[in-house]
Parts: sequence; C-alpha cells; structure tokens
Amino acid sequence: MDDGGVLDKLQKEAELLKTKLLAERSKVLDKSLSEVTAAVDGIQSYSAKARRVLKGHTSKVLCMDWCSDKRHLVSSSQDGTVIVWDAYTNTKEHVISIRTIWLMACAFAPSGAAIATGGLDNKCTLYPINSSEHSYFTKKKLVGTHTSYLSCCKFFNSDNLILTASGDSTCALWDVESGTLLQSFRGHLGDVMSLDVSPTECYNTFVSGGCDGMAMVWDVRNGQCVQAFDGHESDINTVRFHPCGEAFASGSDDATLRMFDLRADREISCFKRQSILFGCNAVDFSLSGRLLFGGYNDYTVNVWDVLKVQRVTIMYAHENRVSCLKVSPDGTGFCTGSWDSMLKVWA
Amino acid sequence: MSAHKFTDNMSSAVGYNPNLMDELVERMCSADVGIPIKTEKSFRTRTPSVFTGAAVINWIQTNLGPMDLAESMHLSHMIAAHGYIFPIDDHILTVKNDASFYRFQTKFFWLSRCTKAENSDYAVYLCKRAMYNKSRTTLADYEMDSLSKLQHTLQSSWQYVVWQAEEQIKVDKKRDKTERKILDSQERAFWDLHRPAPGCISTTEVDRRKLNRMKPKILPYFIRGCPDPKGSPTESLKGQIEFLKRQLDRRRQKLSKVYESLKNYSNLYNEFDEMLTPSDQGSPWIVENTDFWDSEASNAVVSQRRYKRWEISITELLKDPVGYHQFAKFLQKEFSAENLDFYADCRQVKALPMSQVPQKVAEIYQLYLVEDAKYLINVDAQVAEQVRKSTCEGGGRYSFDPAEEHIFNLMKNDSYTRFIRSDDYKDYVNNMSRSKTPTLSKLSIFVSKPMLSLSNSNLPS
Repeated sequence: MDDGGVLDKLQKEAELLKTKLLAERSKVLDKSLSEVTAAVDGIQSYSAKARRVLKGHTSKVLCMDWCSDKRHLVSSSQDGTVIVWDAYTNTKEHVISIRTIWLMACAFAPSGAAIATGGLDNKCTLYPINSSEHSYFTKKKLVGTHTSYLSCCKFFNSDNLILTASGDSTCALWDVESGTLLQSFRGHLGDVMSLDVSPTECYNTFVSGGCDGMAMVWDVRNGQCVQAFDGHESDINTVRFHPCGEAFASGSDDATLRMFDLRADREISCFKRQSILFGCNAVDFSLSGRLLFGGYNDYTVNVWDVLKVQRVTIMYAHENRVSCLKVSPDGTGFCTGSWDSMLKVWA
Repeated sequence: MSAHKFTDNMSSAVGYNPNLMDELVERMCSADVGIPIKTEKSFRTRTPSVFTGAAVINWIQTNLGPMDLAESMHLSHMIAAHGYIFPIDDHILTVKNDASFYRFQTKFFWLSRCTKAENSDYAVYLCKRAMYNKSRTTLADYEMDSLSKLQHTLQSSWQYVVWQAEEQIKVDKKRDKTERKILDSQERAFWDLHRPAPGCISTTEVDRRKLNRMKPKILPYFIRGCPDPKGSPTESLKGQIEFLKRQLDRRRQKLSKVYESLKNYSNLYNEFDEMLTPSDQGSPWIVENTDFWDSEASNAVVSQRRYKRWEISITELLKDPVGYHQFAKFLQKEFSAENLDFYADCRQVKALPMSQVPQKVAEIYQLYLVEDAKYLINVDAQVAEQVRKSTCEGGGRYSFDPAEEHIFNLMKNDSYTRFIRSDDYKDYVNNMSRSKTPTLSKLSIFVSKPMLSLSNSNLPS
C-alpha cells in the first residue's frame, strides 16, 4: 500500500474512533441539566463592593496573583512594572521596573519570597523580593525560554518548580534552581493562553486552555495529555479548577464560560446570556465552588451560580477590559485587574 | 457538538464574539423587529434615518431581557463604543437614555469586517472636512492637531492626500443630499472609533497576546483534541488513534452523579465560604480588622470554624498546621507516626530542586522502604517492588507515588477516621470550645512538619 493509502486508512480509523468517543461521551447525559439542578435552591443575591482600589500602574494591568498570606498580591502591567502590594493596607511594598513593554504574566511563589514574570521576551524570570531594591536585578534568575511569548506562569506547588504556558503552543515545567526543562507538554494546535494546577492532593496534574479552543489535562510525570475537552467556539483565554479538583471552568472569546468535568469526561455546563457578547479573560470560583466569577472584555464581572447555571449578578467593575480576576486564597474576597490600570479588591 | 463552528481569529482581534454582535445589530437594524427608524423633521431641517437613545435602550431591555436599566444602558454603550451605532452630533461614542439621535453604522465599517484604519486615509478624511469649511464640518481641536501632525509626517505625499480629498468631494457632491448626510456621519463615526476623541477609551486596541497569536490551524474535528501533532502525518495520526483508544477505555460518570457531587461539595463548604456565609469575625476587607486572619492563623486557639473543617477530610486536617500536629501526636500514640512522616517526605521530594532530588529519594528509600528500615512502612509486596524498581531506575521525584497513594489511603480510611472519633480529639475540641484563652500547654511550641512549610524550605538563592 502506498503512503496515501495508509494515511487514508488511518484517517478513517481516527474518524471512526472519534465518532465512537462522541457517542460514549453523550451516554453520560442521563438527565437534562434542568432536571439535575431542579432540586437546588438558586443563590438569590450576592453583592460585593470595591474595598480597595490599588492605583500605581500607568498602563494596562495584565496579570495578578495572590500571595498565600491572603493579603499581598503581585500585578504586572504594560507600563513595564511589577508591583507587590499589601492589598490590605493599600501600600506598594516592591516596585520592580523592568522598563520594557513585553511584560505579561506574573505569579507569586508559595513562600511569598519571590515572584515570577514573563511575556513577549519568551522568557520566565524569577525575582526574589525579600531583598532591597538594588538587588532585584542582580538576584534575578532566568528560569526558562520558549520560542514564543509567555502567556501564563504558575509555581507548581513549590518555589522550586514553575509551569509556563506559551504562544509556541506548548506548556513546560522548569526547575528553578538550574533553569532546566523538566517536562514539555505538546498537543495544543494554537497558542496556549492559560494553565491551572490541580488543587487535589495528588499534585500531578494541571489543565491548559488555548487558541485552538481546547482544554487539556496533563500528567506532569510523563508529559502525557490525559484528557482533552472541546466545546468552545473560539480562543480559550483562561482555565481554573473547581476547588474539588474534579472539574474546571474556562472562559473564551466566544463570550461563554464553560465547565468541564473530568469524571464525566465532557462539558457539563455553559454559562451564557443573550446580552453577553464580549470575551471572557479570567474565571475563578468561590471557596465552596458555588459562585463562578468571570471578568469580561466589556468591563464587567458576571457572577454565576454554578449549580443552577444562572447568573446571580453583574458588576460594572472597571472602565476598560477586565484582564485578570482571582479569588483570594481564603475566599474572603476577589481581586480584579483592568486595562484601566487599576486593581480592585472586592468583598 | 458545536466544535464545527470554530470561528477564525477575528474574535480575538476585536474582544467580542463577532457572530453574536453582528447578529444582534442586524436584528436591531431589521425593518420588522428592529428599532423603528424615522426621519426627524423640525423647522427647516430634516434629519434622516435616526432613532433616539431611549429607543435603543428600550429595545435592548425588551429583546435581550430580563435585565435592569443599568445593564441595558451598559450594553448600549458597549455597542456604540465599538462603532455599531453612533450619536449623530457627537464625537463621543456612547448612548444616552434620552431623545438625542443616533444612527446605525454601515456594515462595511463594522469592526468585525474592517479593522484597517490607515493614517493616510485619516489624513484624506480630515483634509476633506477642512476643505468643506462649513460650520457643520468644522474640525474639533484635537482633529486640527491630528491634521497638522499628519501633514508633517506625510509631508512627501501630502499633494496626493489633498488631491484625493478633492476627488472625494467631487464624488460626494454628485450624491443625493440625504444620502450624503448619512454617509458623512458614518464616515465620521468610523474615525471616532479608530481615532477616538481625547478622554475616550480606545476600543480598537488589540490584546498583545492576540497580536502575536499564531493563525489557528483549523483542522478536521476528529483531529482537534488529539495531542501531539508533531512528526509525520502518519505518525501523528497513529498517536491520535492511540489517544482516542485510551479515551474510549475511560470510565465515565453520569451527569446526574457529577452534579450530585458538585452540589455536595458546595453544601459541605458553604459555611466556610465567606462570600456566602459571612463568619462572626467578618471578612477583613469589610470589617477593617484582621481578626479573621489572626484566628485562622493562631496556633494557640483553634476556632470552631477551623476544627469543623478538619472533620471534612484528611486533606483539610493536614492543611492546617495545628491539625497536622494533633494528628501526628495521635499517630505517635498509635505507633504509626512513620506513615505521616513518609507521606510528608514524599510530598517534600516532589517540591525539591532537581539537584536535591536523588539524595532525598535515596534517603526516603533507606528510611522507610529497605527491609531493615528504621521506620519501615507497611506496603504490600507489589507496591514495594514497583517502588524499588522505579527508585533503582532513577525514577526521580515521583518514584514513591504508588506507595504514597497506598499510605495516604491507609491514613485516610483508617487512622483519620479513628482520629476524628477518638477521645483525644474530642477532649481537644472540648477544651478549645470551652476556653477561648490559650492555656500554657497549648502555647507550647511544637515541632512538626506542616505541609505549608514545604515550599519555604528550599528557595533558590
């Protein structure tokens, strides 16, 4: 058989398997969503006010991350600065100006002693912050380099390991100390925009979402894609695990949020409304996993009831796109960052 | 499955879903179900093809509801800010809830179809308006500034710009007066969108990640979702087939089960979710004191809220340093403290820098797994063999995974359940709930390995 014949045969086999898989996945739909959620009382109201307005950046805020101490946070901006805030007292504790416009992602180390940043320079750089300002640059450390921009970085359960997502369509796990690539994760067919580490005790998986509209769950030990989920009709900008670790939410340019469940191996709910037209950049859950927050390009935050798949409220949070949103580690509030150059803590 | 409808990269350039937006505005424009368009006549002047701001807001509220006035005003504003509708006599693209007049942008200028707005075209447009020299086309101050700046930058081709402007005026003059009025306003709105007036937010700015974004490869649906597209087509197809086969073998839970479990989780944690069930101390962000954080972090006094969480699961118990310590004490009494130590060591080795992993792996193996180990842990022969093999083969930080899982389950199903039911624990809880003030024994500093400290221990210098 010639090459074309083999390819044809394989293609047909793959197609057949995919059809089978779709059939298998639809078998889990034993009840409609409304039947399943009928017994649950909806959340009637939720309201939050901006308790802190953090002003200091002079351009778009692109990313933020909470410190495990529940009150500090780090933010990165297009103005080329990374600011470490004590959000509670509304003070800037460290201002690291990198003075380039390539900055995008930032992350707080679990110990609170360092931050990681990255962006259009394709690099992930670590800055220890327990020292004086002069030493930011002498002590900075190059952790890893991709072949395209760095869209997201997260410490992997330790100060010593960092997971990165990149426009080169891969994710990577790096050893901070040596700057060695420990594992590379290939499978996305477009830029990877976001990743999130599983909160479960096994500590070995993470999820990524990308411009191919796919969300993929990976095993860090062998670099294998364990599960792949589709459903979004455009770029996935953000992924975030449900606190139970068995499901995750994603936000997309198609103006929907979706939830996928690892046990059901499929999309389980889609959060959309006729009146929501703009893409979603950031999602996060409340501590109990009941509320789902989405930060959108139309300057708003929509709060959803996860179990009823209904919107609880809309918040006119900023004066430009909401670029990032994270619930604080103890669930007492959440922080939003925006292209209007401000960060706000809501409770 | 909707995957077939995957949109191209337009949506990432504009920030909204172009399908949804275009569909909505087309509905707004439609003659039968849309916003009624009229020609407003007043003394001497006719204003063709307009509608009021109030009409827009009302239409949105009745057609996209249920929603309150604030939301329909916000959405109207967003639609205007992205250039789909515009006020006929203002540079600021928004919608006011009053009788001021608005017009639809022509489809040709919709952001979803046309994102190009070159400086040279802007120059021609400004030049043209300056040439009209009528009061209704007088340039605003910022436009005058732009014009002179453009004249400077386009110096070499300025003659051409002027000539183009003159030609366009000639064409315009041949047009019907009403048509010209509408076209003029639509052209102005186009530039108000792409060269916004000072103080207006530029809505055409593109996310820089999306600017650098690769063109997505739109592949057949059965290939999307299969990892590793690298290598030859045959190889990658083979990989995909393997992946699909693995997926087919997967056991799946029914949706009703999944929902039940999500519901149970949320109910279980509802009382700890500060956003849904405010605590006595109150969120520090609201009450402006840190009592909540202090009580959560206190080693001396453990609030009811905290030990109630210990009772949810072993994971919750081990997350709290005090809970961890109490559990360790209990295990010591039961002569099975090595289980918890082994578990902590396994977690620690996963968090270490690469350089320290081999030594730690050897240490753990010697300490817990060799035949005459000091703290021999109780795993079955199969698991022990698995671990021995992967340790010998340099399995690295994940060498102990099978044993760790075994021990964790043992603690979870056996020790933890007994701990929560034990008199020790009950006494501890009673003691805590009775005395809010710390007793001396509770203040004593304990030496343990709380999970939280793992991350601190090995920060690179």
